[in-house]
Amino acid sequence: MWHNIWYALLGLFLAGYLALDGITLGTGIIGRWLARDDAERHTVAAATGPFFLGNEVWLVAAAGITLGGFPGLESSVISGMYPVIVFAVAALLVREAATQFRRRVSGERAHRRWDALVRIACLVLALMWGTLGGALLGAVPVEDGHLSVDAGVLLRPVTVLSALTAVAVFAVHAAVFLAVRTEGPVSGRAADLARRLAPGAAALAALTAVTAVADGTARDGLLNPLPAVLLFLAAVAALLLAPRLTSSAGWKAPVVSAFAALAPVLLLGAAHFPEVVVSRHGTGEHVSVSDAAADPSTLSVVGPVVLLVLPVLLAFQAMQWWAHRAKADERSPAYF
Amino acid sequence: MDDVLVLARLQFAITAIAHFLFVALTLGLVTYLVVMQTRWAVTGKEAHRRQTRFWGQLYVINYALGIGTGIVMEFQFGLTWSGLTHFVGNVFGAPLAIETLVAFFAESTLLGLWIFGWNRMGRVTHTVMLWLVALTAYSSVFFVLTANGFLNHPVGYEMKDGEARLTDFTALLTNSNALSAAFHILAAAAVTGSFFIIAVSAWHLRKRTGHDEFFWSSMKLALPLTPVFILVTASLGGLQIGHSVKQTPTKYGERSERAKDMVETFTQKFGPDNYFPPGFSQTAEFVMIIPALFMMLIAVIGVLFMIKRNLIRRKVLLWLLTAALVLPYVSNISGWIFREVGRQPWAVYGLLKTEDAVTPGLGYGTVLTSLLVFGTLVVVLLVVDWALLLRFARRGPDGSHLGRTPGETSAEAPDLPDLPRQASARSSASSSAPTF
Ligand code: HDD
Ligand code: HEM
Ligand code: HEM
Repeated sequence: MWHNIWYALLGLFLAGYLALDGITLGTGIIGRWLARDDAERHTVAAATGPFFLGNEVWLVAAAGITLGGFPGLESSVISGMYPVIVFAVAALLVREAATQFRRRVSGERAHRRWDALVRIACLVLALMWGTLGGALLGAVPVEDGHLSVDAGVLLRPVTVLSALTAVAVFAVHAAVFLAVRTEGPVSGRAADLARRLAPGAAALAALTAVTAVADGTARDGLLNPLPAVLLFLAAVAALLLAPRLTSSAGWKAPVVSAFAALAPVLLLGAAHFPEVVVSRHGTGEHVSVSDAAADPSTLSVVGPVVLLVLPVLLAFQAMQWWAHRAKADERSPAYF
Repeated sequence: MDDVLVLARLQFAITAIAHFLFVALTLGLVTYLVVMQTRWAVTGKEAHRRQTRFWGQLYVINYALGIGTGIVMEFQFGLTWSGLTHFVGNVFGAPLAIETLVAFFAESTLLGLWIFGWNRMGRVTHTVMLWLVALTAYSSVFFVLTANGFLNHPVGYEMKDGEARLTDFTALLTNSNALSAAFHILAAAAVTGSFFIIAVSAWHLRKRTGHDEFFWSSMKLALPLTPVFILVTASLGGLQIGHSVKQTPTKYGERSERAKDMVETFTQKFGPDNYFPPGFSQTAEFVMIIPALFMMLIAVIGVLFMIKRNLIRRKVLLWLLTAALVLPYVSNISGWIFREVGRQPWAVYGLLKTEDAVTPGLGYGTVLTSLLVFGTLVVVLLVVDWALLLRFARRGPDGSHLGRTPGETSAEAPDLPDLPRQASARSSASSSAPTF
């Protein structure tokens, strides 16, 4: 039982990461198009700044849960996806440094340069998460619990399309968020952009899905096709709906687009359950939740500690969102 | 395979050392910040607020850039050391999982609230945030070292089917090897933070930057505490030697009586091998201790010259106090090399050799690439960190971005980009931001 609770926790933190850091990632990618002058750039920075640390840390927590609760995933997914993880972590580091620098230096040109670096880092990071999701959706070369991906897996059409979809979805999500969280011209432009981008993002997602079904190895990964298809449709609907809600529904709009951003986690989990990673070398080689999980003695001792502190952690996060619920403009504090 | 091992170790060593260069300062500064901000919360004096903002700015820069190195550390266990997670992941991973949730998750969220809480939260609430940040940071040291202590002195487990299983969580959490290291490290971080504050203050006092009162008051806080922190660090280090000589005798080479018995036991169980670490790990022990003597000397002389503010006129002494900032860093790095290289050839002492901890089937080119990528990036992070630290340290108390109110921009620091011109022109209008 405990391994399923831990698996749900892993899902919670990964989903939280995509929904929340997806905003920062998307803003990094589209921010420059929305802001025309210094004041507007300040507004964009102020819109996401207060949440920068709090969003990113969901990934740290997910990695911690993997480390403590799923040693089997460490040796299959993380070491198996070596190049993807290295580039993702590298992009994260570059984003860290560039985000600090661009708000600490003065001068238009310096700003532009550091902003460009943030944009590239966010783009690479989004592509890597999309690649990871796309590759893991299908049946992958796992044997004896060890995965080793090669260019054949990472550069398959499904994987590439899924990477591009991730970029598009984060962009829509961020645009929806900025439309609601900011005031003035930035807000209007963001709402506009969201409306224009959403159909394209949905089309990319649909193309990815069609390719996945057409591609044998990708299809083999769908152990439970029905919930996967339903989740996919729900995510696409959310993607198309969210931009329409920005003017009328306020904060509900980014909640809806957040569902589109986090859906891949639910989809992967539902498509494979009770397996985590599906092997192309036959049923016997699949890695199931209980195979991947740590020993019950660990999970049942550490699990209660985690569940006990979880409400406190979520309360801190809620506090952060409550504290910055007001709309951001050029006078709002923007440290990052 | 051997070359892969060397590269994987090199990669871990470089990123871990870089991580600790950030961490030592983070932990040291947060302690001082708690004192400074609490004084402000109690007295409400503007001087204390300014002090918290200036040192807090440097703290936040260092913290935010340090996160990146921590994330590299976290992913490396899966990337290059999956043998370790496979073999002892059940035990070793537990404290790290708790750490990321209990400590980092809370710490990062609370730090965000603190950074953006200036001028918005009540003084007391805002101070409580910082207290919580400090507490979570300390608890993170405790949990990380529980994991690291297990590698040096495994307890609370049993072997079953070739994998370690957790049998006694309390024993794991109260491992004397981990606790002694945690306290020694916290004291060492306090020394590092002290020397940072002393170094920056001494620079401003020597250069006569016009902030004598401000930096004298920081100096007055940090300098007298420094000899105390050094003494505590050294005493805790002595205690640590007591544990580590017994628990990891080979670390001390020929100097330890028990090392030879230990080697014999290892040879019986694991076959012949070189069970002594490379000699430079013992050199590192001295490279850690000798700077401690110099730190003590300089700090005590500094304290003596504080009488009647004599220090402000002693340019050479002020220069020395600035230069002394390298000493705690030399000690910190050497201390870790002593501990970690001294553990070799074991990844988990007496249980798992480092060569078996590395990810099976890892390609040479793969590790070389990640070593170059991570190696370059952590160096870039360190350079960015120190470039920004020096920049903001030199600017002095009026240049802080942290906790700036809109109107402040143009008057005191015109070249700061944070708030655009239009904004400061309009800033007389009341802020629309809600208070919290
Ligand atoms: C400002 C930094 C600093 C200073 C002044 C000292 N140390 Fe230290 N020392 C560290 C910073 C440090 C450290 C970097 O924080 C280490 C590395 C790992 C650890 O546990 O703490 C460490 C490790 C470390 C170990 C680890 C051995 C092991 O567990 O394998 C011992 C025995 C000592 N120290 C002993 C001392 C003694 C006797 C000192 C007396 C002067 C001393 N240290 C000063
Ligand atoms: C929880 C904290 C830590 C853990 C669990 C840990 C664990 C490890 C592991 C698994 C390795 C590779 C295997 C080995 O060579 O033994 C290693 C090597 C190393 N670590 Fe640590 N480490 C920690 C913190 C640090 C820190 C903070 C530093 C330095 C500031 C450090 C310095 C080193 C060095 C220098 C090596 C290379 C030793 C060699 O030559 O093999 N470690 N550590
Ligand atoms: C295996 C070793 C380690 C791992 C995996 C690790 C992991 C991490 C991670 C993921 C972060 C970023 C957290 C965030 O998002 O806020 C971090 C930051 C931090 N770590 Fe480590 N860490 C290790 C070793 C250490 C050691 C040995 C210490 C102290 C003795 C330490 C103390 C800290 C502190 C105080 C921070 C926050 C401040 C900063 O960024 O400078 N860590 N670490």
